[in-house]
Amino acid sequence: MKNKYFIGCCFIMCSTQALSQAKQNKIAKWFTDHNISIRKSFTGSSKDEGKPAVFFWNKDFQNKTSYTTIDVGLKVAQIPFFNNSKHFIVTGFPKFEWHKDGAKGSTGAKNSISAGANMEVLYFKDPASLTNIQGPALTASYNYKNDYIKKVNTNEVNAYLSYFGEKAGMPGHSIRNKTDVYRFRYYPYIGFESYSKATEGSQNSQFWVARFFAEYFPISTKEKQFLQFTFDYSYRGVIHDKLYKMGTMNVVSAGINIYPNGTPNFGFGIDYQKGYDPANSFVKTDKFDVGIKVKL
Amino acid sequence: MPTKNEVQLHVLNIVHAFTGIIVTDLLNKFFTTALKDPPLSMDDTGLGFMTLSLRGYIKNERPEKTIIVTEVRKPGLTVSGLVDLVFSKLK
Repeated sequence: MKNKYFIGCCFIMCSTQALSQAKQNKIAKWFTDHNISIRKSFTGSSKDEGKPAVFFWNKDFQNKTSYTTIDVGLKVAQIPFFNNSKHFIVTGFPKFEWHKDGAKGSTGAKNSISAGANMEVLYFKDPASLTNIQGPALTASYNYKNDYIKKVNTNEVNAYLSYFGEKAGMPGHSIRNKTDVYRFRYYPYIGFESYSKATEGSQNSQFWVARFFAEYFPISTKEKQFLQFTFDYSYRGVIHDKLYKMGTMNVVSAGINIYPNGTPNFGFGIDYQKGYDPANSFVKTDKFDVGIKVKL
Repeated sequence: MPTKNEVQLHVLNIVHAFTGIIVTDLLNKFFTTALKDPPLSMDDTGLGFMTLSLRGYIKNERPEKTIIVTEVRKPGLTVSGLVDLVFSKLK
């Protein structure tokens, strides 16, 4: 097992370093020019769009297994609406996601593909003001998910409300160091989630959700970001739970991402997650992951 | 119609309001830095709100014109590029 850890980490570090800065920029530009974004997930909140997609080798302590994991979301184009509105920004985009791990015969195994759409609404009461920049940010999402492990298709709808402000201490405010380098940002969310079996709508669950996300870049220069810490926590309270029958649930995850070339497009990282995994039908996990990160 | 320098100053004041970085530093140190890249590192939510500030300025000068959020959120758009973009709307 120790040899597996060593071999896995060496391969990941060598493979990311093998991509030169120019090559990384070329790949990133191709995705930008074709209006395609890659992240860990597009569940409908900024915190998820801040996380890179992951290709991991995992150690799951809860379910006593080791396996590879793919967590990738693909956003194709972003469509803006009401482009003459003085107070609203409204956008939508289609998305596709694939969440898989190779843990066979374990309760932690997952393999699901989903397709859906996201919508975003920002409201700015007084856009002429440069001293009172703040307003609510609403994101909503619909997914049709096919879970190949549990052999069930579900319709998933969620909506999260957050807030943005540029005064010190407010969500979304960029905390910088003395040389104006960006260091820290956080967002809280409250929201609602609904899950229902596609073939049997009476089997459904609804939760109210409280979430918190923060990211911190302790090692950055004026042009490059080398190290990122992420933290997020979600609490789900039951409104109605006929589908999962899990009761209240929470999940916490923390990550360390290293970008050797200083750009957050390609790197490697370590993630730890404990709790009920929403990407895996709320299976209880206690996971430690090491792998490649991609954010385009 | 405002001059390029007037547009530049107004845009820099808006970027300053959203980043906290003073205008002279935006002009002298970060003028060719992309809004989403370090050290500015603006996220899509902040850029969305900033779009509304820019749109208000543009419509004040040219009511028939607008600026779209996907233009402001485009990866690689620099401070300089944003000034040029807004100026192109006001020509």
